[in-house]
Amino acid sequence: MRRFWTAAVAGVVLLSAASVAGAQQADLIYEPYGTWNGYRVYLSPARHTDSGGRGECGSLGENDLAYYVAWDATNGNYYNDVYDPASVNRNLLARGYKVRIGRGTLQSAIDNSNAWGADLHIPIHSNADVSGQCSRTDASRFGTVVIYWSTSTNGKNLATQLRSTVGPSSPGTSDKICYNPGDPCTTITLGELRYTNAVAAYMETEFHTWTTGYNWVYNSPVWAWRIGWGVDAHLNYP
Amino acid sequence: MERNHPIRFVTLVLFALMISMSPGFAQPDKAQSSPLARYPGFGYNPKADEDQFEREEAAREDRIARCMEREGFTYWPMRSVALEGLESTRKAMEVLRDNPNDRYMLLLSEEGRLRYNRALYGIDNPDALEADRLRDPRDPRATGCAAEALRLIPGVFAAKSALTEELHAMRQAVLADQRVKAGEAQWSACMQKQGYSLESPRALRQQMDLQVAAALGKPESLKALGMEHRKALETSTGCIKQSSLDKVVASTRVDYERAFVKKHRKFLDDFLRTLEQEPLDER
Repeated sequence: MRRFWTAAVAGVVLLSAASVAGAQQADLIYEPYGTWNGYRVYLSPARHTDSGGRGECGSLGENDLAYYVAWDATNGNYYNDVYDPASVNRNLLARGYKVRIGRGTLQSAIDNSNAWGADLHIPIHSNADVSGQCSRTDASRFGTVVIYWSTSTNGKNLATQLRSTVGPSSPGTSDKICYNPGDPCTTITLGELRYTNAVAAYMETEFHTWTTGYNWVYNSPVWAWRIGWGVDAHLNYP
Repeated sequence: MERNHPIRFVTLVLFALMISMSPGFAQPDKAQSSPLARYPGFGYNPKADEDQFEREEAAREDRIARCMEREGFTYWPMRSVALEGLESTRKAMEVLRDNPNDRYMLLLSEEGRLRYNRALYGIDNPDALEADRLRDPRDPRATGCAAEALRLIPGVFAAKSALTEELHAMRQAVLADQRVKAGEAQWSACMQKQGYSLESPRALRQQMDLQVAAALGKPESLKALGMEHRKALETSTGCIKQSSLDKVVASTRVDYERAFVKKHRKFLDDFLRTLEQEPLDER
């Protein structure tokens, strides 16, 4: 069950963000709980104009799910502004990172990430194939996909680490990384990989078009700490 | 949830130890001798950098609002919200509850929104995924009020942002330097005496993540791990002090930063001049 604060914060955000595409919105910048480790991480949740109509196997649209993931990766196990005493999982703030969560448009996420001097830029999405087939159970058809800019060695490393930390937790078993542009896993050139100065990795955390996958993405308080783990692994535990 | 639960206290201590044990967290003792400290945005004066960033963002947003007004639209300046400490969640909720730009756009026709997007972003759809439908931030001819404001006020982190890949490579090179390796070997020997077989503090934290992942779904194992990790981190902190590892890392870093500045001096000096000329106070 999701905790109250996650739901409350995300709900408020999504009420406004879901109404109009293109509206400017304030980003959220989080300071680490303790001493800053010198790194800045920009999390950029999905902003699809058709969120909720992308075959999601549950009540939340992809944008909502992605925002939950970003929030939990940043603040997870730190509910009601108190570090969760029952958890030894460490979110990004506990690991010493400054985190900025993009709440405006995709264009503003690129602009803000660059202007803020982000070291890492991580768009957060969930994947879709076909609609209306939520009861599927063949896990080999699904999994975590992390995409990197084709010429970025660091981007490839970040994508590899995120796949290695998040992938084993997601229910789909076809976890992979792929490059962009050119790899058939994406048919378009992704703006957030091409135009950001930070090392970037674009996460499709799991497919939301099967109920098992949707439920896993929805329960991000349980697994989103793994994004911090992947970030730490990429940066060599700064 | 009790506010003074003893396990919470243990967790907070654990967290504080995790932060303090990282040899990379400390500013170098020789901070003043690093030539990189002269350039804003590289982490030597984080408070001053953040303050400047706030001023720049405010100035940019004011410019955008005036520009949009000239284009026939109303725009409410949007500034990022810094969240820290006990009030963060509540503050986030308050800030996000109200978005006048969102309400304004709702009143526009479809054609009006298109013109609004072109005026603000210089493109039709600022939420398009495809690169060729977005504005290239490096394009000096890019149109739109936001692009114009960014060109005039590139900001305190502009140089750091442009050199992100090189900076990353330098930081990794510091960690791989023989002096740091030697310091880690001393730390390792210290840890060995306490019964730990680890190469570096980083290896300890990596091991902790692996152990947590393996213990998920087993509450008793996690609880025991929490205690074990706390003990290991306390030991590590002692060994970092004994081996002077943090000082070794810091002084090594200064050497690498000296070479970094030498390589990028012209770019960094140009950046300083650009910063001095930012029109932050024009109203």
